[in-house]
Amino acid sequence: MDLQKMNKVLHNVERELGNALISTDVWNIADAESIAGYNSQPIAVALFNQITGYINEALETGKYPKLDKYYILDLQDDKMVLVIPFVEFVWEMLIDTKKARLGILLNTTIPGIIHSFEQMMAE
Amino acid sequence: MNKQTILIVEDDKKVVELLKETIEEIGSGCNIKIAYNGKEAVEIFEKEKIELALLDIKMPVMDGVQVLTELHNRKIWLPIIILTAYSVKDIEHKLLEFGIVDYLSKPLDIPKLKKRIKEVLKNREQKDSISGMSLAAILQVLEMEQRTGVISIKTDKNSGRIFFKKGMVVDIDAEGLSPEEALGVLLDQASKDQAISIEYLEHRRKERINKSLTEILLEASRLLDEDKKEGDKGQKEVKEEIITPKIDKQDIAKEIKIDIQKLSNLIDRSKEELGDALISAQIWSISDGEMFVGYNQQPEVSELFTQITAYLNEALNTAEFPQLGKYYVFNLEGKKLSVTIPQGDFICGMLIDSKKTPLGLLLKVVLPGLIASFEEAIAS
Repeated sequence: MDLQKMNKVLHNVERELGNALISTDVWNIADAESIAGYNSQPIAVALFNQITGYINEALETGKYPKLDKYYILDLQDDKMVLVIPFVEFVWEMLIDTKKARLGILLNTTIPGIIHSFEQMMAE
Repeated sequence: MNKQTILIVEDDKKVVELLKETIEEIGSGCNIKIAYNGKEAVEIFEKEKIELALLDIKMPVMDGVQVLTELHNRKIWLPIIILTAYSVKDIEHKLLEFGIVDYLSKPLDIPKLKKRIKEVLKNREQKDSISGMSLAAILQVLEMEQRTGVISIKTDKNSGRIFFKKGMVVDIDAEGLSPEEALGVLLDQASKDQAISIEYLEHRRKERINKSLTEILLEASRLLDEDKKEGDKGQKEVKEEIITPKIDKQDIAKEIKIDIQKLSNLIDRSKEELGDALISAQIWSISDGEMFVGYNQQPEVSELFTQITAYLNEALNTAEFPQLGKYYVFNLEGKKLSVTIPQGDFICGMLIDSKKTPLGLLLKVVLPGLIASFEEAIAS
């Protein structure tokens, strides 16, 4: 993982989402340690590392289609968490839905992050 | 109709011929079986699937009423048209107990007989088999739609029938229990793994119930509670071995509170708004996984997403993170989106083709409307 590129993508996300971005972390699944982030939240890293593992296992056990590029949880207090697992990494964002321009988030930011992730991993 | 079988149970060979000709004239292509006495008839009923029986009452060896009793004891239920040369009044009360379709006096009114046979066969063809929907919910739908017919439930332990006329439950028959007790047993059994079948046909079942559906559901619940308490006191009777009361008042109340029509409307609305992007949709109860309504239902989904929802709630709560809100979405392999909307004791789950629905449209336009409708249906 090229951390310099990773941080560049992260800054772009911060700029696109502005104050709607409450926190974000990127971590390695194996050790659940954040390698890049903004308002980094170790609890969120541990929590969503665990949740992502559970979802993957449950879908597989249930013989349901596997998780692909992301999942979204609508949370109370006008918050939303977006999780993008990618091979051995996970990118998680906690977003204020009152402040977020969801159109940009869903149609530009998410595809952009996934594309950048794919590019970084391919390099 | 060509796979259906009609059994003629009649000792008079001339009448048998007349009945055979009548059935053949209808041109239904049915198989016709003949039994010349009640005993032969019972043997055929045991071995073969019969869609309709034309049953004479006065016969040697075993008469028609004895046949009905045997069918009742063996829990074999099917539409029966009684043919009799005798005063029906004398046996009417017995016949009504069996929920027969009709009784015709000899000499037979052939046009009327043909009409009744056609009706029954048509209804048997259209027989609805339902699984994954609670019995209480089915009764509510039938009440709303003011349907007439019979629901049959058969399990390893119990079986019974519920007779309804114009949406009103008029009698419930199971194990010789009172209608309320019988309903308790059937609700309990119907919540398990067997299918419930419904036949929409005119019947002449005598009315034994004159309460609203809500009243009888609550009464069934109360009686089950009482039986359970008596059992706890060591006063268990044989009857209680048949009744396994696992439904409590909360379950019944839950089932009568939910507005099935609104849930159906919700599914219809999903279909309208998502068009062919909607692969499947279903609404189920978290507590027992019972499916209420659905489109292209996937029974395995309810258990899976009930577990995932419970896990998410617990994990978020334990981590003191903001709690799960109104929905969650999984982007799945094969260009699919799984949308889950937990609402109180219920979950609405949908599988959507992500190629056909932009995520923004789904989350900003479609989902808020569906969630509002779901909340309204549950609250009502």
